Amino acid sequence: MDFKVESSGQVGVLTLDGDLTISRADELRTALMKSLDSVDHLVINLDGFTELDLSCFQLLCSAHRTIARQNKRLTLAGEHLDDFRRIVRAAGFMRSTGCIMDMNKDCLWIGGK
Amino acid sequence: MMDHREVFREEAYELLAELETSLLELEEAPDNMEIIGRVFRAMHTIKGSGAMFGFDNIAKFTHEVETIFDLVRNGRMSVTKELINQTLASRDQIKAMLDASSSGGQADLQRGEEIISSLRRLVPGDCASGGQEAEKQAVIKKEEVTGEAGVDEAVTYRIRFKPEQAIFSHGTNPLLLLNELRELGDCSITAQMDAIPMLQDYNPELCYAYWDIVLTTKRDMNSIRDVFIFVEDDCELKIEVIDKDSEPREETGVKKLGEILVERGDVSQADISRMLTLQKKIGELLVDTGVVNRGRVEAALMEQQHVREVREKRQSSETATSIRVPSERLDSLVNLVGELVTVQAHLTQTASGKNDPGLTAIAEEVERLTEALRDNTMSLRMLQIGTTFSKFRRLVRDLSSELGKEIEMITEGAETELDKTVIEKLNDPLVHLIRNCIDHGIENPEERETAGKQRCGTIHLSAVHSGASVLINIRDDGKGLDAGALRQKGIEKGLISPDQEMTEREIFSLILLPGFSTAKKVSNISGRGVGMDVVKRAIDGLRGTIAITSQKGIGTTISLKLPLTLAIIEGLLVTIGDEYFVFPLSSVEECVELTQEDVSKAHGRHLANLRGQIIPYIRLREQFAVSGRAPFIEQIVIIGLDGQRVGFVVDNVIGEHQTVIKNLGRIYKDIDGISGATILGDGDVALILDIPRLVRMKEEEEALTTS
Amino acid sequence: MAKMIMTADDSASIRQMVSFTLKGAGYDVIEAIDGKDALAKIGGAPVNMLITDLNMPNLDGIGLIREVRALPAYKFIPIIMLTTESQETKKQEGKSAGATGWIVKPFKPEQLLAVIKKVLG
Repeated sequence: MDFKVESSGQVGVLTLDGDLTISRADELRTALMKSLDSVDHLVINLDGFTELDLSCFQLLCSAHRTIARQNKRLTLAGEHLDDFRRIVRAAGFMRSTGCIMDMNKDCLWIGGK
Repeated sequence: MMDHREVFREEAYELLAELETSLLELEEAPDNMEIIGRVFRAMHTIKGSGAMFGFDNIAKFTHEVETIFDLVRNGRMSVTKELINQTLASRDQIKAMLDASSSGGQADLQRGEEIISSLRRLVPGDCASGGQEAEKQAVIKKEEVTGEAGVDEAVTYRIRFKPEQAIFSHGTNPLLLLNELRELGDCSITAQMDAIPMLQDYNPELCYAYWDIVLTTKRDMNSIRDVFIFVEDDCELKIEVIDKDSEPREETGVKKLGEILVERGDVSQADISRMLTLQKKIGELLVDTGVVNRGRVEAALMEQQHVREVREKRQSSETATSIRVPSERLDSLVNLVGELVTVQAHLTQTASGKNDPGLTAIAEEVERLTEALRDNTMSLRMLQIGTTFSKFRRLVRDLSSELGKEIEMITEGAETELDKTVIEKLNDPLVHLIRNCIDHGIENPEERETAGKQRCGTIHLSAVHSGASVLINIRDDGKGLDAGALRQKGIEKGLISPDQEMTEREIFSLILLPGFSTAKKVSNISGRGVGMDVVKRAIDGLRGTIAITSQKGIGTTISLKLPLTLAIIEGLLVTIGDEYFVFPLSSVEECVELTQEDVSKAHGRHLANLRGQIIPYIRLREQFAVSGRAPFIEQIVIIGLDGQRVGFVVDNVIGEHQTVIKNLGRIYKDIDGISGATILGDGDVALILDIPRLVRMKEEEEALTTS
Repeated sequence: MAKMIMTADDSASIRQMVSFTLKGAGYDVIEAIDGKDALAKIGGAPVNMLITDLNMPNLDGIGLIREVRALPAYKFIPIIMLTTESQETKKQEGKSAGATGWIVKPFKPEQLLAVIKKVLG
């Protein structure tokens, strides 16, 4: 897990790699809280993840809501977003419209194949 | 790798040795719980592992002993010298069973039972039933597990699965359960995320999501519950049936979104009614006004979509299995195919005359396709005979009770297929034959008892394919035909002469002649002058044959042999002078030559000698008054008819011919001995011979000349 | 990487059968002869799942489940207990100690694999 803030100070990139599973959920939550405090737009890079379970993408959903409420943005990035979407789709997380807290209309569970 | 069973045996011997030591120690210190635990554990392992590797008798016996020792372990029974004695005896018994299992022998089961009963006697009265109870429960449980969990039709279930938040700490991964559901059938899943809190309130070890699932499966409700077996105490689980194959689709189609939400208990009917007064999409309204969260609407939309797809799929599979077509269209298709077969024959003939390889190849291809098309078209007209059979059931029931008879009908081969027209035309003759069985064949219950038969008579109706024909048998176990009485009656009616020699079969065939009825009194059912001759004529009309076999006192069997179809037959094409004729190939047995020499030997009588058998023949040249002279060597086509063989003399036999039957026009319809016509490849017409009619005409003619 | 499953059972024949079945299905296996042995071995290797008998000397199955769940690394791993029909109460006890599920003895290799698929994937 690695967090870098770009020079502008506005956009931060949090790179999540390795197993994103429940045994690391607490660590992940702390990282998310820390990084979103310091930037306006948090980009989560998922290129390096090897495993992903419910506890972690449920956490991403929470982070998205938290950020939206603060009038900031959270977006996902990475070459392997298809893998990510395949897993969350199997869990029934894909949506046609975002929830009521999706202020910026950029719900994590919309789109993709 | 060592065999598991061998490993178990070795292990069990060790455990038994340990058990012995422990028991002896226990005798010294009867209150030592540690030793009691050791004894119990040794037996428990022998039982558990024994059952795993197929040592069922050892497992069963050890279970009994273990149950008693469980009482000791729980302090409900104390260790006595007698208990130690019997447990040691049990240990020896287990060892004996183990020894026997390796040598393939059998341990003394009697001894085992004695030990168990002595042990049971040691159990204090108030806990005696405990062990038995647990045993019973265990047995019931096992039966439940083995129950088959499958239903034939696809059912759509609505499932709400809400695990308790601490589910992760049991090591459960809910996503695996979703995967397992997916394996049961067609599954749509929507996660509900409304319980996911903000990060500051978020506990990473909890599961906040829950699921709405719509599953279409052929498995039953229990198979779905089995998926959740480990978590059923730790979750909210609701499974409802929302759609079934067997239930007729409502005209209105799939449920409206509002209906689904009300059914799910997500919103109230009042809310829906309120929203409907506003002109906006119900889902958006409900979310906008905060009545329900968006996730629930998503789940309801998913359900709507899922059910719609399931129904569409079902509908399309239903339409794919069968379509209804008016029978006239089929008839006209058959006619067109008939025309095509004729044209194709013409093409083949023309092509062979042209000696053009390209044209010949095309003609062959057309021939192949035409044959396939013909077979396919004919099969479209095929119906199962079963519907006709089931009608007779009612007939038998009603008529037999009217006559005070007890009759059971057994049918066989209801799935046999026949041309639609044949089935239609077969109905009346079959009704007549079955009436005959009920009326004349099967006796009164009293008569039957006197004859040593069962009171209840049987009519056996069967259909079976035999080559290009179908054989239909109507068999009863009634009184059978009386050949003597029939012969007498034939003489009385002037149908046969008193000195005529006849086989039994020929005598039975008398009942097929017009004006022959054996019924002593005219009943409501048969014997009203409409005799077997009507049946005979109908079957002839279908190009079929009738055979009768009967044994007095035992029963009668009427066998009908019918062609599969009426529209196109396999024929044998022959010529007489310049005329073409067709024999139905199904009744042709063989063709032989008839030389002038043979004719002169027969001294003017129309008899041929076929390998020693004398066969009467008919000269078709004379029959149809064909002009010109017969060739020096003629051909006899031998026909098998009602068990007899008759020859038909023709000039030349050309060969097999696909015969598309055309009806003769109204003017020619009554020509005796011709049942139809067909058009040959070169446009010539060939007449199709009505063999049974020709034979009968000849017989009548002879009867006239002899009398 | 193949997943590591630990089988704890005082019966050598059951251990062998479980281990044989799991290896055949592509899992790595560590065997332990009782609860104490299991606890000692589980600290040394990353185990993805535990299959344990309930009746074992030294440390029994319930005790083992409780101890393993208390280890931070094994707080969330699936734990399956092997029970016999007569141990309905044990089943409940095992669940409250933190077991994920159970298999009733006697069982067939395919039943074992089906349960592993259910809890381990």
